[in-house]
Amino acid sequence: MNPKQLHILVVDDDIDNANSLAEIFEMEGHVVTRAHSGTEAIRAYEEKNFDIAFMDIAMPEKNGVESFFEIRKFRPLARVYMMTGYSVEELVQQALQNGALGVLHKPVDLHKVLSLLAA
Amino acid sequence: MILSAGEAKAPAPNSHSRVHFVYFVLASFDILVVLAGLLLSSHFANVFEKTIEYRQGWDKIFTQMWKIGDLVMDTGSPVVRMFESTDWAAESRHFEESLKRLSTDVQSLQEQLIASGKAEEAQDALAALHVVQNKLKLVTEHGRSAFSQYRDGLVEKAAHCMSMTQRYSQELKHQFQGAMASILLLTRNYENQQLGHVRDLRRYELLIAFCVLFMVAGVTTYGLHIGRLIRQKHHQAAEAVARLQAVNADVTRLNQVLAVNVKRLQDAQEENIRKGKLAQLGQLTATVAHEIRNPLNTIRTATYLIERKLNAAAPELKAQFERVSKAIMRCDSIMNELLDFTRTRALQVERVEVDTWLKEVVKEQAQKLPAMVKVEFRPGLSGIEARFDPARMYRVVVNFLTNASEAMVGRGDDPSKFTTDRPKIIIATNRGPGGVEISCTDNGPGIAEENLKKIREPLFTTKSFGVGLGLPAIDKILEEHRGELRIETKLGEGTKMTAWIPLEVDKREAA
Repeated sequence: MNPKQLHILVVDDDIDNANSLAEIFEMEGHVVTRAHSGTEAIRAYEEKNFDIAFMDIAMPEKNGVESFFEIRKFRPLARVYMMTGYSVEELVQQALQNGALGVLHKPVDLHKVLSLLAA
Repeated sequence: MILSAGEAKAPAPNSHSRVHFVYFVLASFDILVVLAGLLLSSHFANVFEKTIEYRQGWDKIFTQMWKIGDLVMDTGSPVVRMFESTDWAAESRHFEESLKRLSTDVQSLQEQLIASGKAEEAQDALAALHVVQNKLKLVTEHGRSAFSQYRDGLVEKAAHCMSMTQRYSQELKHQFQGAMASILLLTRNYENQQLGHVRDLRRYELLIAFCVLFMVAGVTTYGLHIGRLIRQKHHQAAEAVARLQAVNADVTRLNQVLAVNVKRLQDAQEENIRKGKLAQLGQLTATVAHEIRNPLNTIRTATYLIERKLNAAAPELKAQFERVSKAIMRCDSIMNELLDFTRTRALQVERVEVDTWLKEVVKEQAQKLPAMVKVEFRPGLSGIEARFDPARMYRVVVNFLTNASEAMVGRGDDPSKFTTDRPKIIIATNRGPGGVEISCTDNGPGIAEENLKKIREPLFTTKSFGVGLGLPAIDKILEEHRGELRIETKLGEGTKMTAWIPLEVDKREAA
């Protein structure tokens, strides 16, 4: 058991992406919940709070930033990192200005991600 | 097209025919005056000739009259001398002879006057001569009776007859002198008449002189006027030519402007087409990038997972994992290159303190370069802020560093491809004219002349890897900022690339 075990939410419509990232966190001893759409992510947050979340931006229907804003409405202190495969600067800026912790560009540098967890 | 130059004024029509007309009039006048002069001189000559002829006509008559005058003086004297003379008969003969000569001469004078056709004008003289004849008869009568009385010894009667003879002789002299005077008066009158005629002609002479003066003045004045007119015309013609030349120059200039504008229009059209294509390409690239980065992300995380799990069990796989990791990063950098070049969205301009921002970028990017490449940052803007899109300018700096580094050591894994012993990159900032400059200087091999133009063209590359969009992307980003890229290079010494951007980016671009 990791003494600093965290509850992490990984949100990505690409299931392989979500799983591989989740498995890395699990390997590090954290508890990971997977969500594959914005709606699922919101539902997950409704059920419980997470220590940290990694949210893809480009998702069908509700994108990551919109979902983040909705989550923030009932969990104002939610700590969320945005992930994106290409620069959607406007959305990224909105998210950062409204409390997102940061943006990770795909392919994600995993050393950096793990260091974020340690912080 | 607008022609600014005014129309050239047309010269007054018929001016030539007017000049001709005036000269024709002057010449006609000239000829008239000359003719008048000739006429006048012929008149003078005529008068002179007539006067002389007239005088000559009277000359003979005068000579005769002088002769008769002499005879008239002593018609009575033989009668007087008879009383003192011893030979009265001789005196009587003398008396008869002289009377006879006188009578003949007077008669001949009368005939001459009539014959010369001067009878009418000399009628006074003729009348006088007629009286002279009568008196001559009386003198003859009384003289003869005086001589006969004296012969008969009647001295007293002879003396009486002598005094009668003397008296008539005196009267005869008077009459003759009257006739002479009348003829003299006649010639005097004629001469006076001719003199009056000459005086009249003199007046014409004066008139002609005035006309000549007037004509000379007219010709001179008109000549001056024509001269001025010609000079004016000449001036006007020169002006018209100058104006024509100006219009020509204008047209030429406008044509050039037109050509330039047409070229610009063509360029703009091509640019629009290019932009349209780029927008499409940008959309496509963005989609592809997203679609590829997701599986790339999966590969990366999965590889990481495998690496972590196998790490202790199979250390010989470490190199393989590194290769996978590098391949993933290459795919990523290709995506970035494509996105840099094809992106068409508007700039997101921010006010950025250049040195501080750039220091972070350089520090972050320097770590990604091969370890042997030394990177130095030389800030020179001391807190100056500029307005630009940091995300886009970030790509410029990344491309600068990547290009310089790859030119010197390739990807850093194959020493046979190294071109530089101590690869070093200096990133510096400076105040440029009206803007700021970010320069990247390397000590690499430099760029060959023939490649210098091509490196700005898309898809040109001297490397065995890469898409060839690095410099075109820099060009494009700087162009969007209304800035420019300058390249200075020297073979064997290195290359300096300078990005200049204005302090204020145009708001249209920022919108």
